[in-house]
Amino acid sequence: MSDISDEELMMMFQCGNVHAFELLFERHRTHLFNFIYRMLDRNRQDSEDLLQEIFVKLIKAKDLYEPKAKFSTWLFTVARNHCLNFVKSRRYLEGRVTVSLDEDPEEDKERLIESLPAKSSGSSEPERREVTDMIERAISQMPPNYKETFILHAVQGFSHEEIGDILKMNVATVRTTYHRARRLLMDQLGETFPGERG
Amino acid sequence: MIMNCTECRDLLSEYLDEELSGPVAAEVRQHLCACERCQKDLTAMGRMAAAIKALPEHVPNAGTILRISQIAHKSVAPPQEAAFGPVLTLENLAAYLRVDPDSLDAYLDEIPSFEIGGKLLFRKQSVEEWIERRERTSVAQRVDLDRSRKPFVDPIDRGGVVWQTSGEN
Repeated sequence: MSDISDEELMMMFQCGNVHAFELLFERHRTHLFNFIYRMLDRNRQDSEDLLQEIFVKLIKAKDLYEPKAKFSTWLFTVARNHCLNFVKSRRYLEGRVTVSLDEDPEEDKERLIESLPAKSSGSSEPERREVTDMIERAISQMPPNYKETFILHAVQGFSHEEIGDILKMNVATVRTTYHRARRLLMDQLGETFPGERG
Repeated sequence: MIMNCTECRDLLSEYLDEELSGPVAAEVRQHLCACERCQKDLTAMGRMAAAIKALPEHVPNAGTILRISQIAHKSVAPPQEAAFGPVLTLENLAAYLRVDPDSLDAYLDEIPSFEIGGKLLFRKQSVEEWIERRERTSVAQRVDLDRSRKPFVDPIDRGGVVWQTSGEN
């Protein structure tokens, strides 16, 4: 079964083969969990709950899947929508920088930089864990549209084209959003990585 | 026109990912060759990209995995093993006994049945009683076979009880 594509496994599951689902689940659960985990600002309990909700939704709606859509794209589209709805419904941004998707990302940038944790002490060799934590916190504080694009590409490894399918955006917009997000991170984290800022 | 540092810095992310067109990439490269500061910025961006790729992977806990798996199993209807009613058709009987319908031909004379409208039907309770009789017969046959295979045993070892093989005096 390991040579069978995701799309074929999904069709087998539609026919009642639960082992096909088990294999699909095993292939994608960690990858998906990491996306949810970062979209929900590393809240583990909420992430576990949402992972379960998403797969239960997939199980119940399995007959709606059509093989013309790449399975991973379909899965992450469902997950992304779930994350957004969850965040909105739980007023998740309380106490954090409140950023609307309609606002100007450049204005967001100024507000974001002010809200980010203090820059590193200037040590040239920070502990790996501290660096990881700084990166994770910086990602979590990004404006939502930057964050999802950045996580999907830089962390999850999706191509710009795949991200365009997931987010229903054209590829040029995905690229622009991603590079802006990366520059935003560099503005905050640049001193953590040896380089000269002007 | 020679690119300045601000212009170069705005393009470093695309340059790092090799997404710039040939002429623009060449301009950036030309600036980098002459600007140590922007070279260092590019290096820093590369290191940050590597650190992001190396972020730890988080794994859902075993309880969540198990629950999802259980839900998936429940969602799939079991194979046609629905409870059979009190009266079985020939096809039902084959499914109930998990045999090929054709293999029942040899047993139709002994399996209790009745006929209505030309259709052979079997009362499930009667079939189960027939199964029990076959089980008892099968066990008795095995016991007899087992006895017939036992060798003659010296009566001294058996406390005076002598088992004889069949056909022996």
